[in-house]
Amino acid sequence: MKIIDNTIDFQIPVYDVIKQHPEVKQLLVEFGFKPLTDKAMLNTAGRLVSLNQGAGKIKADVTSLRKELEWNGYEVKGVDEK
Amino acid sequence: MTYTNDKEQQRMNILTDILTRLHHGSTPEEVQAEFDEHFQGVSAIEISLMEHQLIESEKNDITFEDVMELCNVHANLFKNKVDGVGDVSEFEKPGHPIHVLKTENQAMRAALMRINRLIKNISDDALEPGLLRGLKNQLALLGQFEQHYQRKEEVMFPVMEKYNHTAPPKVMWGVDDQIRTLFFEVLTHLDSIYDTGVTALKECFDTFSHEFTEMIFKEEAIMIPLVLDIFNEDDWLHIAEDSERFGYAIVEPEEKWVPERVDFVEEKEANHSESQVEKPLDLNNLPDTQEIPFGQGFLTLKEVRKILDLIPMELTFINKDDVFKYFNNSIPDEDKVFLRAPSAIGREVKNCHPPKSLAMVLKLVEDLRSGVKDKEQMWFERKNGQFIHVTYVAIRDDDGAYMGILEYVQDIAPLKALTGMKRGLS
Repeated sequence: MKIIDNTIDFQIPVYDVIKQHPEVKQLLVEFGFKPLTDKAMLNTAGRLVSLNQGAGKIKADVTSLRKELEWNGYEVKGVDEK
Repeated sequence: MTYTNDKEQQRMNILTDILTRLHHGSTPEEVQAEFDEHFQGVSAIEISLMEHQLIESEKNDITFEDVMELCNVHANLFKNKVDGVGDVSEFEKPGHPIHVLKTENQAMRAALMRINRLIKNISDDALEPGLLRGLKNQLALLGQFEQHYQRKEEVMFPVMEKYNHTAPPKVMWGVDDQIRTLFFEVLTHLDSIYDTGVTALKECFDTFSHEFTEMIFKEEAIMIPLVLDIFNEDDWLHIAEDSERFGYAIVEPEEKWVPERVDFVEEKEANHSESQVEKPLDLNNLPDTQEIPFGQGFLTLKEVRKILDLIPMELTFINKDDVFKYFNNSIPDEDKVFLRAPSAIGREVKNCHPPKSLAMVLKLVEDLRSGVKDKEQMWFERKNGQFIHVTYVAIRDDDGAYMGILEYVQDIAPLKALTGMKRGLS
């Protein structure tokens, strides 16, 4: 059995994050990553952009994203907080 | 069922004793050691059968509730056991109902852990609204276990019942309902957290979490081994198809499960284009009415079709590669002994049988193929009054090469009942 891991890595492509944690997608969309609802976007931009980079692109604060995920019980790593 | 084997009878007595003690108030912990000692290595199916017998029996006062308690004891036994892992079977492929069930269990356990983390971090004096929102989110996500339970109850249980495993579904359904109630209590406590406080929520969630995790173990340690042992591939296809209606918990199947089948239409066309020159008859374009040489005479395709569907027997043919290729349709479905599905055409024979009878089937196929036997016959009575006679016969080419097996099944009750004579018209 696969080991259960609730850690979200802010440095890997968003596509991989969602592959590991499918249920996170909805959370990210609600947070502001609207393009993720588009399968084509997820498959293109999603493979190139990490959560750190993505937060910048939607002009969101990466710290509040970290908080939102922690409030949902996830652990985070690689958060690029300046 | 009667136990001819002393050891089985002994186990049955011990199980009765354990359940009776549970009934009279012993805790599961108190009987665990004894259970482990006697039932280590005993299959889930065997234990469930014994439980079934004990519930049905009038001779004791064991109830569903007692067996429900034993469920935990039983799951505990499996928890300590490490199973050997074989090669990748159908049920380990994405989209197979078992794979889906296990993936959901995995996702639900992850959600359970997230909620546990959150609940550990809240206290009455600092109720962070963001955290409460997250907790609600995660509980809503976990609440999708409803789809998982419904699928299990509405789609898998009926198939278990079809094979006369009625006790495990009933018991499990009872526990499912308890878990539903506990989950509802958790939600209620969260809604009223400012009044009822964090401690009450924590306690309530702990109880739910324990039972919920136990159910995952029960599914994986008892139900899955049991159903894998008795369901055949058609059952799984049917379950996979009906599952979509109920939806999934947290994770959707990655892909649709398609078991490997041989497609005769394509194969025929492929062969046809390769060997067109040698073939005297273009079967693809053969008119229904063209006379084809058959044995001592001639028949048209239409006549062949009509004759095969008139012979008062269930005919089934598997080819030399053990692929189920043909069955006729002369007997009404309700009278058939072996109901065949058109969707099963093209399947390997080993996938058309539950593991339970598989060994015998494969032995028979091997004996007919190798020539150890040319024929095998069986007969038995059915509850509906039919007396069924079954023949398996090897088909061999003129040079003796094995071509496959023809099975013919007929109800000989009307023939056995004949007496005297009848030499005139009706």
